[in-house]
Amino acid sequence: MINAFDPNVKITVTHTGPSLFNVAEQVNIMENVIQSGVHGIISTLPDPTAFDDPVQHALNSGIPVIATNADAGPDNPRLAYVGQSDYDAGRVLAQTLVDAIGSSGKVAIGVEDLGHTSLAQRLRGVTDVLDATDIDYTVLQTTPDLTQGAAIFETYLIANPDAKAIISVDANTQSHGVVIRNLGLKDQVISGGWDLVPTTIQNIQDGYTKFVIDQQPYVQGFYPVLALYLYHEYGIAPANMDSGAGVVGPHNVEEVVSLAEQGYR
Amino acid sequence: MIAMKEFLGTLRTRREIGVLGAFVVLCMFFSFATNTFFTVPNMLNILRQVSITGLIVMFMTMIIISTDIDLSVGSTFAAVGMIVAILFQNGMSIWLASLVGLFAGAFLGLVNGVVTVKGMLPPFIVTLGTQMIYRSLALVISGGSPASVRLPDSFYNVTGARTFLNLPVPALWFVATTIVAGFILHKTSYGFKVYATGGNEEASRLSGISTDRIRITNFVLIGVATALASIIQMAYLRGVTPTAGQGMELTVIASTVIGGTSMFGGVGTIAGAFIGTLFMGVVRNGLVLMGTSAYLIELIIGIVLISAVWFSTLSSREKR
Repeated sequence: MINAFDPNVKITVTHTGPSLFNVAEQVNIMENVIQSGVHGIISTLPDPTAFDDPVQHALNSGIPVIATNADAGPDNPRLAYVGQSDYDAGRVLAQTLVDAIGSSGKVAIGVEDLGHTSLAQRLRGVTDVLDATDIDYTVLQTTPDLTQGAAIFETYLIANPDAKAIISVDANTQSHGVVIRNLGLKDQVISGGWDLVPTTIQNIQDGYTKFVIDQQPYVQGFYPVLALYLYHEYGIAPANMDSGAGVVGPHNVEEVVSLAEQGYR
Repeated sequence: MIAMKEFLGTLRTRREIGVLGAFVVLCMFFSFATNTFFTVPNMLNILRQVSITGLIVMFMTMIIISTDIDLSVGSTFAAVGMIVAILFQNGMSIWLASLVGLFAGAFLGLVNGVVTVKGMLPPFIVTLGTQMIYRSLALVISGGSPASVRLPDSFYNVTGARTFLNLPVPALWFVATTIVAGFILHKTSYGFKVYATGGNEEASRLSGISTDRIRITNFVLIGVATALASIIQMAYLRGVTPTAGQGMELTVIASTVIGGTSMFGGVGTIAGAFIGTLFMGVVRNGLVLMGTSAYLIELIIGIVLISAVWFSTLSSREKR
């Protein structure tokens, strides 16, 4: 029987990558990893074309590659993609927002990295839904830095006292809680976004953040490793897996808290 | 024999010898620590990986020798890449678009130079400002989205491809640029004036050297080199993001300084810049080959950077 938890299964997973979002540097690192002779590569592919050659090079060298979390699309030769359909998830978030605030009013949308494929697709999913309503949205570049993100949202809310919501298409959702608390706008301004990280869970429990799209990062890490194991051991081809676009909010946050604390959600 | 002794004597008095020693030690360490480092494909990999920043390092060396600095290279890199990609997407020939890109790089460099020199402002502040301005330019013209380009083979083959013996073309550009930069800095009167400007600007001016023109030209040259690097990278990656080149100026300056160029101006060589560039590439490559955790890599590079510069200044202090 196949048992990935078998103590005899010895898989060493090394985590590497650029310290900041940097496509060229990530390509360099992937080339170096191929050179180092690993048995498989699990990588985000956050650019539509830049990873085509390195991934093909890996496959030619007998190294299977699975995309996780961010995908370059089906034109890239990677064997499979495990992660969220970013565009669909963006639509889910926007629909949840419209359900909460109605189809008019002002909304700010924060994006950490302009130029990141996944975030751009989430944003497109969000704006495609909002464009069909009377909602007046503004896109803000928050950078991954939470302090800067908080400052930008705070400025937006001061300038737009009638704003109904702030949302983020990435983990800068964490910064919403402190902004809404500082400005005393709890229950007046709705917060929503991505990633079930501890601060955001706390914000949901405290009533600042109303909904978060859960992309199940544990699945995005665990399943590719399992798929590579099955590929090497039994020749089973890696398959795509949609890690979902579940909505976590006050109604179900308690169910996921303990799992999130253990690192499974 | 005497000639050999003389040769070794010149080597010892040269600042970059210290870093060359450190470089050799580093390469030996990685060769023993991994069985993949000292292989032809990996050497070519490193050469390809450093070639983009290397193109810029050569001219950053000239800038720093004449006591200036350019912090805007990463943003120029993104802006030029975006300009070329968008012109190409809108139907312009990639050759013409690249030419426009080179002129755009020259122009952005010219702005840096003129504002710094004629405005008598610190280059650190001016290029910090233009770093933001040029980044914004890249974001505005791209609308924040990355651009993908499917380039014709005729262009790709002379920019991003691998050629005979699997040699990466970007590396050939890097080596060629190094030779050109070496010629300019060490064999022409322009190069002499660059050193003179950095050594003592006032004295140089009094002796009839137009230091303003030298400094502005340096900025234009680095603008063109950055544009060339951007075009080559775009061809290699088949696309460009408006966030490309973030933090690039620090890698470029680090490579320059590791190569023995003094931040106080007047001192530095192209040979040193070449070694400094390879040094940074070898450290990053070797650490990944060793399976070093991503969280530790920057820490180790930081220590290596300081050690290398310390080693190089130590050896140049000894000679005095």
